[in-house]
Amino acid sequence: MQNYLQALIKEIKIYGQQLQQAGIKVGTLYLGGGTPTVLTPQQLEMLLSACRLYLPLDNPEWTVEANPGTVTPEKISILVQNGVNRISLGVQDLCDERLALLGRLHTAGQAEQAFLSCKDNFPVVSVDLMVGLPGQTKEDLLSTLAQICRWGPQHLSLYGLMLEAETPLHEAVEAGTVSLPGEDENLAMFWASRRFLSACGYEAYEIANFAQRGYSCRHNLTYWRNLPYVGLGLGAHSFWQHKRLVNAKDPETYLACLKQDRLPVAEVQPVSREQEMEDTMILGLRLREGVSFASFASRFGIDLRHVFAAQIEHLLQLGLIECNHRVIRLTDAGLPVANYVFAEFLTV
Amino acid sequence: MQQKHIRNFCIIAHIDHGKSTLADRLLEATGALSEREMADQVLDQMDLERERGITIKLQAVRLKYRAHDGQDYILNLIDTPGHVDFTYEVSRSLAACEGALLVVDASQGIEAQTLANVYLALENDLEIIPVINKIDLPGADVEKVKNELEEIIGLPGEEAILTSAKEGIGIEEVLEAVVKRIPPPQGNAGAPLQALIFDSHYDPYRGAIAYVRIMAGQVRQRERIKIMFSGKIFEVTEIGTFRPDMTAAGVLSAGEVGYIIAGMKDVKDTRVGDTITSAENPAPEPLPGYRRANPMVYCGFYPVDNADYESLKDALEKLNLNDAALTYEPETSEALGFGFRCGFLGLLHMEIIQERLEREYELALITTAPNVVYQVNLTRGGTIQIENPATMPKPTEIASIEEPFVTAKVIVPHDYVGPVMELCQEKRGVFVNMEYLDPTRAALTYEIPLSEIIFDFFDLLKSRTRGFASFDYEFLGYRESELVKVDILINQEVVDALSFIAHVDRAYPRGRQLCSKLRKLIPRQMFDVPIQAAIGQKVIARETVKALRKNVLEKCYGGDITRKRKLLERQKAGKKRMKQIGNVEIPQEAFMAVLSID
Repeated sequence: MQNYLQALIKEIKIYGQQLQQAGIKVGTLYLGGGTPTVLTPQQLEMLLSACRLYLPLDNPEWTVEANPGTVTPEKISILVQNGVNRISLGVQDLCDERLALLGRLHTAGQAEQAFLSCKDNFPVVSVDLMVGLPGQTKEDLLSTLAQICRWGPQHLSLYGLMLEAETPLHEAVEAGTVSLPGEDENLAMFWASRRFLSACGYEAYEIANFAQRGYSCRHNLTYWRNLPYVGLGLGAHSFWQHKRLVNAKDPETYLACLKQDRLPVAEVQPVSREQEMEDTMILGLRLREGVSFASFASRFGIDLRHVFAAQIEHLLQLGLIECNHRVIRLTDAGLPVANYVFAEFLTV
Repeated sequence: MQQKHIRNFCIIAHIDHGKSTLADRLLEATGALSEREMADQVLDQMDLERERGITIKLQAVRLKYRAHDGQDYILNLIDTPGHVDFTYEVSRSLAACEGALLVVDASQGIEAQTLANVYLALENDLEIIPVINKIDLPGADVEKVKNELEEIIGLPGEEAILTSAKEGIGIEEVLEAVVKRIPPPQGNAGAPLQALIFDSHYDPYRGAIAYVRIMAGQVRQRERIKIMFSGKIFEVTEIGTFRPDMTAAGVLSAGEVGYIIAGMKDVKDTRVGDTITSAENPAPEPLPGYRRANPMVYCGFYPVDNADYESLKDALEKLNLNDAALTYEPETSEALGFGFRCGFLGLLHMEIIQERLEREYELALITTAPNVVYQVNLTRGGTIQIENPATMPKPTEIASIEEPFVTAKVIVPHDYVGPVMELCQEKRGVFVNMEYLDPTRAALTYEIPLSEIIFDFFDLLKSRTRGFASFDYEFLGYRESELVKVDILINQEVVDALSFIAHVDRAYPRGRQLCSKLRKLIPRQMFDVPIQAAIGQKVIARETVKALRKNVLEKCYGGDITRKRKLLERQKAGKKRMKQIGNVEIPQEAFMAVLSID
């Protein structure tokens, strides 16, 4: 871990220099992809201060992901002192039985404890929840949401359960000892949660993300607006100068590269103009704000209604998208079948 | 070379009984090819043949052999295709020989296909040398096979040569037997030329090359020749023999096997079974036995992408240059657009062409379910041939419909006689007779509609007899049947390419099964898609493909973008193989689904 951390800090340093040279400021920072809070307080301190030291920060939105079981007062104070202003808590559910089934180490009680101490220390708290869990009904979900809304996080993410192969849960489902909600129930939960959260003042600004006014996650908006970002660490992805870069996934290569002061990039995929236009559509349509004609035109020098005329006509006919004079976006009918819509925009 | 030093022979064997391996050993033993030069199984040249271990295209090879009597012999080995679709070709290559090696697997015994070819050989008065192969395998039972040879075919079992082609055992004995037991060819070299075409192949630089056995007379370079049935006249540019590569020679005389190149434009000029004679001094009669191979099975080939129509046409033209039995006519389907209705000798022939179009010509094709040719007697008089179910006239215009029947022979261990009879009956077979070949094996003869055979008869036969049955059939004739056309409607539209013709008793269950199968094959669309089967206006079955309701992936952040894009691309690539019919995307398998019902 110590070696990895040193390598990561070196990567931060190298990128920091490149950004400085290019005159680019860092507007958002996100520590995630697992649970950074498993680091010891000392390690956490090292990592965060390295970010502050080497990156050209510009009053950033700075998020750290955390599992409720790993949030201690000591770590919270390290985070806060270093300028972290947003914490994303992986609550997942408020039913202890289902949390155990998911292999989570925390209970609903611990989650609430963690939330309360975060709320007192961070300007913004976000909560991650999972939908479509074994045995979960629409009523279960709504009562969970009601409880969360009483806690009052500024931001919520709702993810459908994705069964990963070779996990205990996957095996249990295969064996028939656990059963998952069907498509109709999932769809009912999808809509019920959106209605409920809307009534509680949370706008569904993205397919899976909800926020009180002004609290959309600026960092994630970068992804959905298909803007450049840099990913640091093992297997991290970057989109940068019309290329998608992927860092080495195996620790040995990663460490070896940085030992020689080289960036640990393992894959470079140039993104063609066409592909970038398509990506801009399939990412932007995830957002309630949709894709604006003006910003597309100023970025690519062409009207998206020309580029994607056939797709737009077809999808309008099916009622899956809508256009006004400014933007194109998904309709309510298009939302749950968004993959169909996205696939239309790909020219393979 | 004098005739007494020539032997012309072929090898008859069931699939997998070791014909190709034995042929390889004979080539090796006679030095026609060094071991190093041999890719495995030289005679089977097409990839597809190698993969399936069967011979489709005939080949011939000339072997030089110094026999134990100290004399040098020329042994012409003519390979025969091992599939029922090509029975006529087999009969012509047998006619080019004086003898045949009958290869029987020591553990499997004689199979229906072997038997059918043995009868063909006997009809052609061939000397048959039984070879019991694979004697090294643990399951080998040489005595049992010897008994079978005696009881089923009437060949003295003691004369059988025991071999293991794989291990190289018995190869010398086989070569000696070819010399000693097969009579040399006869035929008067001074008579007018009669050359039997037993195969041909198309070469892009030299045109059609006829593979011939000279039955009488001689042929020389620059000679003007006449193809007797087609009546066309050409000038010989090259003649020669197969060693195994084509090697030019000055003259080919009665008894010899070789090739003739004469500026023939495609293989339709050199149809198998036709006779080549001299234009100046023609033979009074062609050789007996010529018949034009007529397609028995038809299907539609459509490009998935309409823009590929011309490429498909070019590809069919090219294949046709080398395959006179393939026919193709442009056809239009409301559902599939422009394509071709193609005729084949049988299902294997069809699959070969389909695979070659897809592999060699890289065409994405939609193949409609194959069907036989129906003869429809009209109420207003006259008879029409229907090669495509979609073109069947309205019921009111039809007086009666006739369909082709075949005589099917199944050889099966007696434990499986019951299931085979049941299967034949299910397939509308009419029992003809049953005889026991030996105490444990029976040969069943049925008359069965060809349409039932091209469905899934062979697969069912194999599964119900655990692979122990062997099967062969030959065309019998047209017979009246009570047939109806069943239409399939998808999203209220008739999809002409899915129409099929069925016996009236089967129309309902087949319609139901096809609808249910299509429900599983057609991906969910953005709306409910009804699937119906109908006879005329009457709907006989209905299923619904429910609309797609939720497929959105909720998580999509920085690292997910590439992955998600790939996922969507795969989804989209799958759709590319589909055909848009109305608003519905139908995958290619759907058009073949009708084959696997029942």
